[in-house]
Parts: sequence; C-alpha cells; structure tokens
Amino acid sequence: MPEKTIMLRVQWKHNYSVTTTDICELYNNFLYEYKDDVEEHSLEKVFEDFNKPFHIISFPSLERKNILLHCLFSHEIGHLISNKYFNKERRDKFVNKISKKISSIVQSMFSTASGQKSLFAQAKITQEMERAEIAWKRGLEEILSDIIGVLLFGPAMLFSTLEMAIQDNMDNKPDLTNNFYPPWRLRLREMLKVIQDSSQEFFPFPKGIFPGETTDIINGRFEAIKKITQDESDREKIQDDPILKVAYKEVDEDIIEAQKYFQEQLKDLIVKPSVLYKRLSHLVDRINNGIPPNAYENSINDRDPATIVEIINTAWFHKISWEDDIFDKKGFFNDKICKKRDIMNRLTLKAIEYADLEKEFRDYYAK
Amino acid sequence: MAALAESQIKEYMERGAIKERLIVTPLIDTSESFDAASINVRLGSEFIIMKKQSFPILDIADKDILPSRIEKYQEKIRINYGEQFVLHPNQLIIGSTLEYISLPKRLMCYVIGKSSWGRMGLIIATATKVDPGFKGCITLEIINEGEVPIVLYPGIPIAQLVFHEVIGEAEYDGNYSYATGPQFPEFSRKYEKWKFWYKK
Repeated sequence: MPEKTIMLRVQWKHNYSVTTTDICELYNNFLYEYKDDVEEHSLEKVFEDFNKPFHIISFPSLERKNILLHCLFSHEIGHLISNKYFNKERRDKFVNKISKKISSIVQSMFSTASGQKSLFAQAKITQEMERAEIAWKRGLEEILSDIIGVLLFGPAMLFSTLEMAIQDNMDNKPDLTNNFYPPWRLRLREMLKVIQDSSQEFFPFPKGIFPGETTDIINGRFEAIKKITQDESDREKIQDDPILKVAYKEVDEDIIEAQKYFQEQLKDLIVKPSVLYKRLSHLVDRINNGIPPNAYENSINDRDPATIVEIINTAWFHKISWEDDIFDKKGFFNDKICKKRDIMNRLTLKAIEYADLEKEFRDYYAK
Repeated sequence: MAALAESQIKEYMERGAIKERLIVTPLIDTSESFDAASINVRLGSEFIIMKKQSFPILDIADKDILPSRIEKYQEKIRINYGEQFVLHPNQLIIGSTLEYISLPKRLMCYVIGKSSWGRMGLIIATATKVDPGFKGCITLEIINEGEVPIVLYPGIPIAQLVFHEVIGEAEYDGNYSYATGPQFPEFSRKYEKWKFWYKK
C-alpha cells in the first residue's frame, strides 16, 4: 500500500488486528490544538516524515515465527481497503431497509410476552437496531477483508484462516463478547466461494507440480475445508436469533455487490491460478530440497525473483504435504517434523527478504 | 587439488537436477559475481556481536554454564541494508554471507577474503572450509586487524568462494545446515565426546 505507512508489532493477544484510524491524522489534530503555544514551523517539522496515513498491524507473539500464518496481514490490509466501502449512503440504505423488520420483531416479542404493547418497546427497538447495525457492519467488514485477502493471496489465505479457525469455536454467534466477529465457518465458506469462482479454479490442485501422492494430500486439505463449510451449524445459530437473521440477510446481499466492487478495484493485483501455478513447480522443488524459494533460477542469465504471493503459496503447499505427520503414533510431537517446520519458516522468511531485496536493487538501477 | 574456473563454476550452476546443481542465491548482480576462479559473496545483514561481561572466561568444559555465558556474551543484531556497522580495531563479530549456498555432493569450497578488504586489515573468515552437500548461509568470523575503525555495509561484496571437486561423494550433516544467518557455537553438544580431554 504505497499511499500508507504500516507498522507491524507483536501483541500478547492471540489475534491479528489493525488500527483502521489514521494515527497520523489523530496526532495532527491533537497537536494542532496547541498551535498557539508553539511556533507553526516546529509543528510542521514534527510531521515532516509522518506525511502519509499511518496504521499499526498487530500480530500474535506466539506465532511470530510462523511465517506462513502472516499472510493474514492481507486480511488486515483488507480492513484498510474495505473501510471506504462503509459510507453514509450505504449505512442509511441498510437502516431504511431493516427498520420496519426490526420494529415488527421487537413489537411481536413484547406482545407475546405481556399480551399488550410494552412502553419499553421503543427503547428496545433502538437497542436492537444498533445491534443489527453493528452485526451487519462487523460481519461485512470481516468477510470483505477475508475476500480481499483471498483475492490478493489465493489459497494461502484460506489455509491460514483455517489454522486460526481450528483453534477456536467454528460457530461462535456474533455478539458483544466477541466483538461481533462472524463465525469462522461462515468466513471460510465465503472465502471458498472466491476460491471456487468459475473464473479462478484453484482446485483440484493440478497434477505435475508435486508428486502424485502429494497432490492428493493437498486436494484432501481442500476437500476437508469444503466439508467444514457444508455443515450449516453456524447459519442455524444466526437464524435462531431474529435480529441477527435480518442483519445477515443484508450481509449476504451486500457481499455479492461488494465483491464485484473490490474485484474491479484490485483487478491488477488479483492472484490467478494460471499465473500462480505456472512457475510453482520450480519453487516447490527448491523448498523441498532445503533451498529458499526466492527466485526462478533456470540458469545464471535466466532468473527472476518470485513474488511474495508465490513464495507464501509454495511454502503452504510444501507444509500441507507433510504436516499430517506432526504427531507420532503415541500423540507426541514428531521431532523430525517440528525441525522441518522450523527450517521451512526460516527458508520462507529468507526467500521473502531475498526477493524483496533483489526487486529493490533492480528498481534502483532501472531509474 | 585444482580449483574450478569460472566456466566450470557456471556449468555446475546450470545443471538440470537441483541436487546436482551448485546454488548461490540471490545472484543480485551477475556482472559482479564471478572472478576467474571464484564467486564473490556479499555481507549479510545479521550479526552476532560480543559484549564485555563480568564473568572471567569462556571455558568449553563448563557444560552447564557455557551455553548461558555464550548467550550473555553474544547478542544477535540486524543492520538494515543501507545502514552501516562500525568495526573497531581488534573487534570480532560473527556475520554471514548474504547468499544462501547449496553445494552438490561432489563439490566443496573455501571462503577466502577479498584482497581489497585484506589491505584495510579486515579478516573475514578463520574457519574457511565448507563441506560437500552443505546448505545455508556461510558464517563468517570478521575481525578488524587494522589500526582504524572500518565501516561495513550489509550487501557489499566481502568474500569469495573457491570451489574444488571431491573424489567420491560426501554430504555435510552438521548442526549448521539450513542456516539463514550467523550461528552461535554449540560446544555443549560435544561434551560427551570431548570430556576425556577436559580431565575435570
């Protein structure tokens, strides 16, 4: 995101998060309150190197060496991109569309309970309208950021999200205690739709990139995700709550429109299987043989640095091909596989550093 | 034992099968990479620096205390590309090559300093042999033997690799495989094998 400055920081909380507020603007407003007390040029000097919107992405300390999981940064970047989707016009449209429905739900709740309309019904309507709006906004925010992540990073984003999801309850109902996060199962389902989009076709994973058995393992992981999303238990929980049911009906409708909007916005950056899989076997061969997958090096003069998307996807496919053996028959960690995982993380990180450095070097001398 | 000339080095680097290929990556600027019988390698961005501590000695026979002392004595730092590291006279730091090397089973190499740096008093490697089959960034022991501080920049060409074919096949299986930066020494692993010599 060349128009923004992003700082990465570790946090103890096991979560990825982003400050969507522009910290630069925040400080600017705060400090300019004192403009009468200090010389103006001193204030300008403070913001000299702080001249772009500034955001902080936090990632869990526990996962700091788990490089593959860090493609969830793309979800957080998705928040910064999807932010502009939530304008006043869309909010008003949503409120107008649901107000009658929410009102009638609340009225019916009160008449059922007491046999007559309650004096408190109006207050409850306001309260439930707010709940519906938060559920809609938070649901859409998270799902759109996931979709943007998948558009930018492809299958790696889906695998990373699954790794976070399996550590939690798949069907958590969105409420105040979980900051109205949509259920993981629903998020995976929406991401899968993008992956399975008829114009994408990432899966079944093509033959010839990995040995046959490995291709089957990777396709197996994909099938497992598919199976998780075929279970509708998350939907049932949402349907059981009449307010959430209304809010998520709107989420479903808005996703279709928003996805088209972001596909248009990000069209030059969207990862396509035809491009991603074209040179993947070379990178896979490298990481399988303990070499960083940083570049296509067919010969000394025929070489090209890989993109971060290619590197992360290579590492994910490599990991999935042996990850099932992480526990031995007694249920203990398999030391060999743990060592392999450590090497893979280091090689992947090195590959990203090398590819980035090489591109920077080329750009510098191309000027 | 003859050293490989540039053309032979390139032939090894262009072999089809990855296991038989010599890999030195990234080759950021090929015009600067090859000499008549060597490949130039650059200085990496991670370093282990030595801190002056209150403990008196580093004794490799103290297997219980040594690892914690080494950790206190040495600290890992990273210098960004474009930034400098000032190496003072008689100062030792552990660095590594920027490049990741993968040697096939028929090839070994020696790491040798560049004469231009040598003339400034910079020694870049004291343990210079790299075994066949080694994979990783090569650790460098960098010492300023000159009279004045020397400024180092990550990414500058600092050493060269001279290759030799080995008779038969061999493969490195040591503790420093797949290193992506400089490595701490691990003497405690050798304790059982060496304890006869400690006589403690």
